[in-house]
Amino acid sequence: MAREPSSPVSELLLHWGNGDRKALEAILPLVYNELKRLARYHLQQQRPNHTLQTTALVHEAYLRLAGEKSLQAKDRGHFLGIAAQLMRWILVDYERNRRAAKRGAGATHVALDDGIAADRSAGREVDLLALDEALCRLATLDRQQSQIVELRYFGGLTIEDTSEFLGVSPATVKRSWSSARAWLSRELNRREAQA
Amino acid sequence: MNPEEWLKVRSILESALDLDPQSRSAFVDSACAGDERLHREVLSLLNDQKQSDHFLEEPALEMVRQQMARDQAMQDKESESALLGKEISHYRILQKLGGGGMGVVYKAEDTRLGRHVALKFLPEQTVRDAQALERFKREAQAASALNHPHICTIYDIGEYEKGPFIVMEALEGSTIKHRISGKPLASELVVELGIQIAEALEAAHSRGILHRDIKPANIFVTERGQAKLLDFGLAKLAGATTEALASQDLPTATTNFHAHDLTLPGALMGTAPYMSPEQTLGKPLDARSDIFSFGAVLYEMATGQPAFSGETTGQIREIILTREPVSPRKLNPRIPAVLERVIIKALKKRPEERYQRAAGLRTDLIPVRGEIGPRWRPRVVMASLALLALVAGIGWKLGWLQPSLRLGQIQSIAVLPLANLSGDREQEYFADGMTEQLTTDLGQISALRVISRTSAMQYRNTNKKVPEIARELNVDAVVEGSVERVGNQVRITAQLIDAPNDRHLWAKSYERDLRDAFRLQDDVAKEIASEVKVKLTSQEQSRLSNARPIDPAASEAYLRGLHQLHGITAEPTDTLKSQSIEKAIQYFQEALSHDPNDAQAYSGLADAYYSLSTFYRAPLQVMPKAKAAAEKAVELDDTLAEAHASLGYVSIHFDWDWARGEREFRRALELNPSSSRAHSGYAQYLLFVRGRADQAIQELRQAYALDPLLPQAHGDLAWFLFLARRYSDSIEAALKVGRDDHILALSYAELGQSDQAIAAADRAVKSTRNPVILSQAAAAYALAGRKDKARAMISGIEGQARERYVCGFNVASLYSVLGEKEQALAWLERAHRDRSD
Repeated sequence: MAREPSSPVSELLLHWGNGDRKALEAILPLVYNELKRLARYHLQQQRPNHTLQTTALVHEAYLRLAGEKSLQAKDRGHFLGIAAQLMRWILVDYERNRRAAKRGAGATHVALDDGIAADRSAGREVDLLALDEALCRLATLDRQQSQIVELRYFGGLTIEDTSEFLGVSPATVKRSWSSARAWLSRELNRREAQA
Repeated sequence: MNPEEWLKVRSILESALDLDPQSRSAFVDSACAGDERLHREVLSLLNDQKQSDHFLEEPALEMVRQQMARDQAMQDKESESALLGKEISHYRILQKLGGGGMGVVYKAEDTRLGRHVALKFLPEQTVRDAQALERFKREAQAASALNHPHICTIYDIGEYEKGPFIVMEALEGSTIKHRISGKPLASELVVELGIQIAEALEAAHSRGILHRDIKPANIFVTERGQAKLLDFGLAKLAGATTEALASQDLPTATTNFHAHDLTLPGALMGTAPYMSPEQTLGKPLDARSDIFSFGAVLYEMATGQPAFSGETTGQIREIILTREPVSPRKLNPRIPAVLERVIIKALKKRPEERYQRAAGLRTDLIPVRGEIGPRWRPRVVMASLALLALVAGIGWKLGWLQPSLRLGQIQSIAVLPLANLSGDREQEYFADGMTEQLTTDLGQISALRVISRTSAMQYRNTNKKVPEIARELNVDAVVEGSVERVGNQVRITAQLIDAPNDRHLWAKSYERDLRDAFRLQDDVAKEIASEVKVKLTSQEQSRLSNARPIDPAASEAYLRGLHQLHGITAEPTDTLKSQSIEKAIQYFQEALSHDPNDAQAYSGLADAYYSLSTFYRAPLQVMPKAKAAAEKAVELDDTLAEAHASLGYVSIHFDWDWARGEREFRRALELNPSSSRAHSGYAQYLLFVRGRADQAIQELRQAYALDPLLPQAHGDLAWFLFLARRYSDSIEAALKVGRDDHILALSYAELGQSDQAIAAADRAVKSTRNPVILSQAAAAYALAGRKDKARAMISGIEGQARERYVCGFNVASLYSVLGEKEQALAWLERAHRDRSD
């Protein structure tokens, strides 16, 4: 990975950090592609008992795009923010495609959804499409809370990383995170009850 | 709800969540006092929170991954049940064998050839476009050209609705990945499999084919312990994208989820922990990259742990580029130091510092075989002994313990026929000759008893295991190996095996010019000697260093001659035996025409003439030639044991020069204490000349011990015992051999057991036309009181004597037993004229 210290991406991140919206537009597809590629790869690894480290993956995407030598805190922060958001898009898109494919496949539909229902009641399985919608509603109530969920759940950031990124105390992040989870959980349960 | 309401709700909710679950409801009651709606809202959120404690705690990506794995499993099951029993092309799918990153493998029946094969279906997205498919086909073609015992053979490629598939050799066993599963493999296994894989890699690399994806999951170990490298060239299929991925050349931005690059990372990262540094950087690769990956595999085999690991591929890549792995012996102290060095060298970051070829790695692994063995534990014992000694103030005087502790005692060795790897049956004699030479060289070492070639040769192409062979030959250790001759180059691989335990003590591979082939065997012999810790006398030392360069054509002819000569016992009839000897003579003469100073060829010639004389030709005709040859041999090389033995035989059987005979045999035994031929010659001297039956028998027993499988090649113990008048012993010995009916007959007759004597004589007469044996059987009849039968045989024997040479002494004894003195004297006269022995 011998690359110039100032790769196009780190340059763009810098511009974006300085308020250049166009830089973000240029960056997004690059990061999106990279993340998607990495996500796809990691998703294909069928290793049981090995939890995927989303943060590590995002960092990897960053390294691959920005080059190793330009790990400036500010760049990195911007990047994490974008990455978390993009991961949300990627995974939600993925889920949408998956369901479309399922509907096409027919017979397996029922069996598979039974499995998901069972998993969901055990608290493991999350309906990503419903979550995405609920997260949009949460943003109208409290933008920062929605962002915290995005960073933590999609971006895989720790409480500390999140607090650093948002410039608020870890305690605040922790509390916001737990109340946001409670709210989202209720939203999703309600939706399921209606279905 | 609006933001303001939510703010109120969440501040009470968050405070409540900070409390113990028991005190929460009281807190909420008081905090929401009077506001019914707020109270309901907070309580409902708290309830939900309780139900889904771990909600969102697992990152989305991980959840999706598990989902995907489940989907995949489901899909696999479906396509599996769809495939089973189906016929694709001319392959009937029988059973799923496994699946992995590079596709799903099924066992199938090739309905045309009626054999079992393995079908590998590549993942659908791997070969999507025509170009990739083309590349895949080219690679498969190249890989299918690799015909090697340690590479899984590709038979065919085909296409079916969902993509291409590969038809491969069906294997039974499991991959190294399965075999390791977190535990180190025994060092013996690491080395043996390592050598096999190195051979496979060398074969591929020398054809310009890289593997690019060597990893434990790609190495199969069959049930018979054979390593098989899988998926040759498959990595290349995805590999072309490797470079693109790591370079600046990022794919064009696109938000299409099904973009062409979806499988890209698989190529680069599928096996991240086994990638070479240059591979992680996307640089062009050569054989040394495979060697690095192979080193990582060896590391994992030896320690049970991956050489490079990390949370993400990025981390792993970083580690591969910058960090040295933990030294293998720290993780597994049982790894031999040499093996550790091999692994470390293979894992050098800079390709220039690694093994440049797999063959080099193989060469270094071979001696490790010898490193592994009983010495490991003893070494620990030695260390604690040393400590004890120091503590006790005894000092370090325990050195004498070392040899016996290390190896037990190796005092006897058999050199098994070296395998002819040339694939050319014509070269068989050459391998045999090398075996002969090594046997002779080792035999020169007085501290070792070395089984003679004639016995060891019985184990050519045997299925017997080393411990069994060693039991039969009564030896402590066995040398086996192979000879490969390509043009004027000879490669010899030899290994020393501790027989009772079937453990490799030492192994080495040598490559030389054909001219130095014999010197090479001297080196092997010397190293074996030092390995078994026998002391070479300075004379032995210099004799082993003295081999002179040889003429390839001469040695070839010599070895062919030897082959003939040693083969005569296997020939069924006298005529064939004598023809075989004549052929041997021709070969020795041919050798001498190439190299007139070849002492060995002269010695061989002498022995061949002598063999003719005993049964087939009058000594007067052939023995002078034997004598001239033997004398010439000694003159050319005074240190050649065979030459002195040849001269010994000539002296006692033809010249009747007893003193010289004794001298020559003694000298031969001094030069090569393991020469069974010298021992049996000396035994004949002791018996026939000195009449020391007991000593002679003892000497003969030594010859037997050196040649346990072919004792008859050295004269008959039963006959010796008979001549020593130990009749019950000779009966016992003859019964053991099973075909010495004439000796049995004579012995029973001497003991007065006439019925048994006659019965044995009947059997002898039925089984042969040999005039010597017939004379003896007839003598037995006479002694047992059936002179009629004996007389009836005389005409037949005398008839033979008119057509061929018959040893007169035997006929003379027959006449004397019959009491016909004149006839007896006439035959004695004739024997004397012929110089019969």
